[in-house]
Amino acid sequence: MITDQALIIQFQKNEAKEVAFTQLVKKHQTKLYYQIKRMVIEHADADDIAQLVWMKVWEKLAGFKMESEFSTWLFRIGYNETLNYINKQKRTASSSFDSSDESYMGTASSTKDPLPVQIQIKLEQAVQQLPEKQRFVFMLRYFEEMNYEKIAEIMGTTIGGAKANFHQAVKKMEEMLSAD
Amino acid sequence: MNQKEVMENKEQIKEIEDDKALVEALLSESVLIDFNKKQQETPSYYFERFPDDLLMKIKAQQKPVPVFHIGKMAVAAAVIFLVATTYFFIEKSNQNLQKESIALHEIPTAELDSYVNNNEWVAEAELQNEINNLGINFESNNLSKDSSN
Repeated sequence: MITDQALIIQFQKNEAKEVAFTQLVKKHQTKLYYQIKRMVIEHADADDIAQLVWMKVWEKLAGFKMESEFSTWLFRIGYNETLNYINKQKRTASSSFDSSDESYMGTASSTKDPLPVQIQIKLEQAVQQLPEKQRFVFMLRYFEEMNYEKIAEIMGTTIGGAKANFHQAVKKMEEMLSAD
Repeated sequence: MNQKEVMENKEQIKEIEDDKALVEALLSESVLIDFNKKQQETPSYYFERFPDDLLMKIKAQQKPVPVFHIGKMAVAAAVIFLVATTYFFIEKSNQNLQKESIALHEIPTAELDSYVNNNEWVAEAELQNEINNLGINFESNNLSKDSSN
C-alpha cells in the first residue's frame, strides 16, 4: 500500500494530482468523518464539515512540509473546522446542540438497540453537554484509543492539557449520569 | 522497534486501558459500543461516493482564468484618461500661475502707462485717502514755506 508521504509527493509534483488526492481521501475519510460526526451528531453537518476540511487540504497540501504525520495535520484541520462550525451554529440557532431538545431524544428512541433506550439517551445527552474540547478528547481517547501526544498535537495543546480535559470529561459525565 | 520503544508502547497501552476503565466504571462497555455504532451510522454508499463528489466540487470552485472584457477595459481606460487629464490640467494651471507672476515685471512700459492712466482716478482717490489718514495739510505747509521766503 502506497504511503501518505508518497501520495503527497506525487500531489506536490503535480503528477496525477487528482489520483493522489483521491487515494488520500479514501485512506483517511472514514476516521475523519467519525471524528467530526461524534462532535456534531447529524450526518448532514458532518458531511458539510468533512467536505470543507478536504477542500482546505486540497488548497494547502502543496505547502505541507511533512513535519508531522499527514493524519495529524488532517485531523487538526478537522478539529478546527468542527469547532468553527459548532460556534457558528451556536451563534445562529443552537437547537441541534441543545440537550433539552426533545427531537434529539427522538433519534435515540428510534434505534432498534436491544439495550434500554433511556441509558443511551442519558449517555448521548451527557456527552453533548460536555464542553467541546472535553468532548473531543473523550471521543478520541476512548473510541479511537489515541495517545495523548497525538491528541495534544491535533488540538494544539499540551499533553498535560489533553489529559486534564479527559479526566474532567469523565468527572462531568459521572455527575450527569448519576444526577437522575 | 527497540526495547525502549516497546516499553513505551506497553506503557501507552496500559494508560489507554486505565482511562477506558474509568469510563466503563460509569457505563457498561456494551452501551458504549452501541453508542459508538450509532455515531458511525452513515447513508448507504456514502464513503464510496464521497471522493468523486468532493473532486467535482473542487473543480467547480477552482478559480477561472481572468478574461478581459471589452466593457471593463473601456471603463478602465476612461478612468485613466480622466485621471491623466485632471493631472495635466492641474499642472498647466500651476505653470500658468507661475508665468503670470514672472511676466508681471516683464510687461512693457507702454502697457504699464496705459494701465496707470486708465486707473488714474482710482490711484488719486487712494492717495487722497492716505493723505487724509495721515492728517497732512499741504496748503498750510506751502504757505509757511512762502513766508519764510
